Amino acid sequence: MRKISSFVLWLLLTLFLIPSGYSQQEDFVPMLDEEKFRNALTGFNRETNTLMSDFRQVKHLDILTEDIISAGKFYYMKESKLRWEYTDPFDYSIIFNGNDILIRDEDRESRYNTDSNRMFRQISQLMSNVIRGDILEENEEFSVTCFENKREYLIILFPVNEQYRQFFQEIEVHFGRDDMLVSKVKFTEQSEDFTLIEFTKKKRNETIPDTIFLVQ
Amino acid sequence: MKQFLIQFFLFSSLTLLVSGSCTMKRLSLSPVEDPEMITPFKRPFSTPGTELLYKAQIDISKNHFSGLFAIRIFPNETYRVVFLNELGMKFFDLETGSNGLIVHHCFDVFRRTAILNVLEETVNTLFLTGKPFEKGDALITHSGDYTVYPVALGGKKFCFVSNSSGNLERIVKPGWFAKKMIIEFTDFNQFPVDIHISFPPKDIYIMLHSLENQHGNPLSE
Repeated sequence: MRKISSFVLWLLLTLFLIPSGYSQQEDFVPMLDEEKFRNALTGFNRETNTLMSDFRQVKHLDILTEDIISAGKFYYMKESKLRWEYTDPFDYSIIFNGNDILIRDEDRESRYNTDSNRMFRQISQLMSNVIRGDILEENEEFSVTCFENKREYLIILFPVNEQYRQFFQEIEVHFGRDDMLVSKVKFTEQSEDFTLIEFTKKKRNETIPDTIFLVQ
Repeated sequence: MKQFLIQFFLFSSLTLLVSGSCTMKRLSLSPVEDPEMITPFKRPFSTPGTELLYKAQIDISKNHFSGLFAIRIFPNETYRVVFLNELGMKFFDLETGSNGLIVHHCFDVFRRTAILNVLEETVNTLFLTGKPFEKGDALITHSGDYTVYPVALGGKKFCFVSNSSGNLERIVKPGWFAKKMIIEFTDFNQFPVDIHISFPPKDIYIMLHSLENQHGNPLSE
């Protein structure tokens, strides 16, 4: 009798609880026409000269019960100008302009070029490429799995490169179906800690003053 | 040449002697007559379950790193410290406790014996992992404002300086010619708000400033 009760309980759990655990991903199905998506994204990126958006970043560390939340603005200008501007809970900007990097930490400024802090630059650049949606064009270091649902495309990148593998277990990139822009990125580390960045108020090909990318 | 060296040696010895005696005079310490009368200093980080977040800047020679310092105090005198940059990338993830230092993750730049030793010494001193303090060893300033505890941590000598409220203000690791390590705690609000850690001979400086959560308190305790 006890065995039957256990079985019924297991069945109920299987039917009701386990599927709810996959609710976020359940409507994603493997992408039907991956090549069409890649071509569409490449064409879209080719015609993208500027991008800007607000972002909200959630850093989950297993050792903390509360996630670390920060927010700010993101700017991109073709070919290689990027600005991450954190405004909350503190002022911090990181600007990439060609081979130069400027970090403005409240009232302190630090300048680097591509020769110094190579790994830091690689990771930061990777994050930026992911957010710009360029990552599929540089996928030799990642194996890629593509999914879709009615609202979004979901690309999951698994690092093949040992250097990236020490940082990331996988990277999830969500693209809006309607605008082909990245709406959400999740970097999951080997330790299961993760960084989730959500983009809102996205604007494409709007004029951005060149001065905001100045690093000198 | 020989005469010059002798003169140089004598001059150096005299300078050190004078500066040393000045330092002693400036501190003007005396042994505590009644150890029971002094307020034992509060350990800055001791409550298990506490989680703290600091804005951090680390300078190692010409390399500058900025980001966040997350601290979690576990039971059994175990501490976890994660330093990550604003983009969320972890520089290091260290654990210290009875089993010594455990490196969960370490960015290449920090994965050098000299730097890891500095980080280990920093966390062990900052958290005072399992070190007893004998009130009888304490020295007190003539004004009674500060109490100085000579302490041996891991076979090395340190001076712990606490104020009349019992808050630890300064930890100094003295050296022959210059202080080897200085930790300064300021603006206590349950926990130190600002912490400045410097290793002058090694040109390593760590500055931490507390980030409060939305309720104006440490993350949790």
